[in-house]
Amino acid sequence: MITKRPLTYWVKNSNMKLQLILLVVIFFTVAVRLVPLEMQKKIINQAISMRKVDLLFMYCGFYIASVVSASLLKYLITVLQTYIGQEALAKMRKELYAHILTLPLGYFRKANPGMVVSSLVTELAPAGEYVGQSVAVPVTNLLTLIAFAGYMFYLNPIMAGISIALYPFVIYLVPKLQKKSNKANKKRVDTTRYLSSHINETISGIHEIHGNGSYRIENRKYGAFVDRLFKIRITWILYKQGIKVLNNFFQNLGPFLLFIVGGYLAIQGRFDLGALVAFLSAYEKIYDPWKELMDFYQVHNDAGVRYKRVMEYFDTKPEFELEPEDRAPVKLKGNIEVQNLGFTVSGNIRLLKQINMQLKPGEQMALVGFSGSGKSTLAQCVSQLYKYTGGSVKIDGYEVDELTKADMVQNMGIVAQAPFIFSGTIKDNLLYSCAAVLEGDPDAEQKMPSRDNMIEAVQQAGIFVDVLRFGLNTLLDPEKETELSERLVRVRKNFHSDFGERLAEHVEFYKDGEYLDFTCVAGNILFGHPNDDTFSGRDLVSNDYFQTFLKDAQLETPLLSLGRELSKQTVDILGNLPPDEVFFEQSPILAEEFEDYKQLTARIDDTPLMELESKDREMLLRLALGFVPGVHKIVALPSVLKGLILDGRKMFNSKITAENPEAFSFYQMAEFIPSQTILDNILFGKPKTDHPKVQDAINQSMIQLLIEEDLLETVVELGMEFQVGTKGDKLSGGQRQKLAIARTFLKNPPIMIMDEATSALDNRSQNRIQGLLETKWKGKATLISVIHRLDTIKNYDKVAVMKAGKLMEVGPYDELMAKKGLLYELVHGAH
Amino acid sequence: MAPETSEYQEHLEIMREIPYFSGLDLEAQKLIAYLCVREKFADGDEVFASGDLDQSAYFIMSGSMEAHLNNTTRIQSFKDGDFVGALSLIGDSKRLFTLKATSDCICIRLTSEKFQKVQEQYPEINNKFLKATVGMISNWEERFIANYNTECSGCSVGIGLTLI
Repeated sequence: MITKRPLTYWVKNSNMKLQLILLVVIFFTVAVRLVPLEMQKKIINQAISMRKVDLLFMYCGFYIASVVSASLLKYLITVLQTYIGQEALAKMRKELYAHILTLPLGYFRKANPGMVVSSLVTELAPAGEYVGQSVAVPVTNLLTLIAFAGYMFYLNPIMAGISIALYPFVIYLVPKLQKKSNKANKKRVDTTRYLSSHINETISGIHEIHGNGSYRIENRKYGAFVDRLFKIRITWILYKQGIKVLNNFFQNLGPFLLFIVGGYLAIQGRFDLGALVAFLSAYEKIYDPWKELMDFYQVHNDAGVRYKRVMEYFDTKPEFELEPEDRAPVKLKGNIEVQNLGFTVSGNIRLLKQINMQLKPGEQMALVGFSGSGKSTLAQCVSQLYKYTGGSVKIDGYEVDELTKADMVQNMGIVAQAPFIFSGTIKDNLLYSCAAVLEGDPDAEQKMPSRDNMIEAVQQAGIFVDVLRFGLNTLLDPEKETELSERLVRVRKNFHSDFGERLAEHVEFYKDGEYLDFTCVAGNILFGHPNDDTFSGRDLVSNDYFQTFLKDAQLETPLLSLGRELSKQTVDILGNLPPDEVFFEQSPILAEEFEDYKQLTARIDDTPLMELESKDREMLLRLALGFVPGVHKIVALPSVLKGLILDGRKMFNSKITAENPEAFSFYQMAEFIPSQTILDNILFGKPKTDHPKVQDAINQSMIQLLIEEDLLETVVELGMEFQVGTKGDKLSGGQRQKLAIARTFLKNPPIMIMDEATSALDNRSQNRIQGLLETKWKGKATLISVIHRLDTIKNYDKVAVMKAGKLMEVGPYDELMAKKGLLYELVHGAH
Repeated sequence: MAPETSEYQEHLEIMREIPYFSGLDLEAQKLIAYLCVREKFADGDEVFASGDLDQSAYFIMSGSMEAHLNNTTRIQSFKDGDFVGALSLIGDSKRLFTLKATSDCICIRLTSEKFQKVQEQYPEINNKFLKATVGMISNWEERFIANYNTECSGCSVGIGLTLI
């Protein structure tokens, strides 16, 4: 198990080939580093003192060559060690994540999600860095140290001894000072914390200080803290600087010793000048590998501590094997047998006691009882989500406890109480269960459900209309979809002749000469689709032609003023809220631009509109042009401005028709509008409300018209590509639950576990799904359905009633009701 | 250009007078007012039907409505200025009654999904909203007891709501 591995495991199992190459490179690097020293000696002794220019050039050439190659080799070492380290880190991250996913559900009830995130993202990083450095840094620097020291001994053993003699002092003194400095630092942090909490207290109680006039008392208290901090900070800084000074001192003491001893020896003629110079630079250079080793020691400690903490945190065993060894996953029919089942959790709390029950393949059982009675827990024990602690659960004679995860998921579909929808498209989520089973299967592509299967599942779960709606809300690229867009224009004509009048109240049709409350200001002015990109979307405000037009039409100033009002109001309401879908649905400012507008609002506070900078003007204009009065209700569109805009529409139309007729296609009944959604294209307008009843009416008309044109599946398929957002937050609770049901229906397993699967659905949807279970799946799939509301349980083969972890009665509904036992009590109330 | 009153501003004024929201901080009231949507119902339109899980509360700005049991028995009427369905903002029970417009109505609608988002941002709402709700329920039963006719034998079955 990954959590039992020590940090050194990753060093041993890192990329060995690269580590070997690294060692070779290091060897060369160290050798090359010695060349400049030897050259220095030769330059002075042979070239300069003998006055030989050719030798000078030659040695200098060697010198520069060795310096360049040492740098290149050093870079190569860095590249290698980074690669090794990051590779190990990636491996650690993947393996730890795989381990975390298999941890028991119970573990996550206690685990802190923030810790899981920080473990995988930040805490492991130093460990990776350490693995990268673990060979390169100590070997390079130790070899360099030994090589330099060896070279110094080779030049002159006495002097080498003297200069190295200083190092033990440093090794002894620096850690001592470091310890003191750390201690002072801890004191500083503590005192700062006291100080902060004191300030906090004073500020919250400021009314009391004003009321009592106790300014001096408070100043005295605060002053005492500040004085203490003053002393502690001085000590801390002195220690910190002391270490630097000490290092520096020893660094500079070396040359002194070398000069006094070396100089004396040179004068005596027992030591040549070149060797002295070489000695001096060797001494200076010996400091760098020394320092790098010290830093490495820090990395080693830090990485070790963090790595250990992370691994300890996740040191729990998974409860089940993921895949069976040496056999294929079993195929089950769904004969469930539960005997003396017990489930006890920590604290000796018995959630399930002595449960006995039996289901034949294809039988359906409703599990009912008060909340907390253990009905969900029973379903979760049968479906291997929890590992039961006593008794046995057998499916087709196999003990569930001993089966692997793969055995279970091949044969079982679970709809959880609060089903989770992951980010991605509707289709991704619909195929989630099937894809998980087929993962790794070479024929996965052929075995995946077809489009028709998916549409069927979507219909069965009752989310068909929702998906259709998503499809209707997509944009088409008419160049790629010429045929489709032509057919949609045909649908538009049928809509207007069949439903136009009936829905007129709820749809705002594109009519020239009328202000459109559900279309943005820009759309109201242009009233057409730009064929020229400089007129489209966000670029419109920066378009010179359009800007001049706004000025000519007297629209610029009122629009700027509208933009400022919008920005001010929106920032006032949404100022400090997170970028949640719900908050920004009705906001004229997009979530991703909100920060910019927040700053803009603060910046332009009282500046007259005329004095705004051009960048700010563009931002305000863009906001005003995107304003849809029917949706963005925070500001009212003054009727004067509406009139001006309508005048502007006429002006713009005649101006552009005269000057650049190719640039725009004005809205026409017979033409597809690419910048509008399919729905808006069919309506040739926009729906005025999202009230369910109105949406229903529109949806019904769409279904009828799309069937007539044989386009229904095409649009639903577009809807399957809808992005559901993080955690599916663009879907409602009911839609999420239906999607989860659809994905289980699509998987069509022999055993189904539904844990209050229809709790967020209205009566109609709930009854429809119940009906399907009774007609389509009865006799085909064994079903355990945990049910809170009792209105749908009559037709189950068996009803099991639970109370306080015990199974009180099991049997057909009528039988139990006739017995007037616990079920009767539940249905009719306890009174 | 004189600014005209926006729907948001109208909603904010109204929120400040609805007992459930009047005690909240201004910032929370603003957000609720911003998230509300205006709806229109024609005479005879169903606002919600029993069994629905529409999870919305309505404030009637103009017009009148009636709540029915089983589409027949009239239970209660509502008129402009009334707030209907506060409980559906915090629980997830199905509708027990059917609400119908008895004239053309303009309402403000707040969905529980949006209200819950506001609760997440301003957790202090929870307590205040719950207190206001309990207050309303107690008042309701007090009035019921005051008008309680001891002669009526079937009436005692419905009494005692505040004992839950």
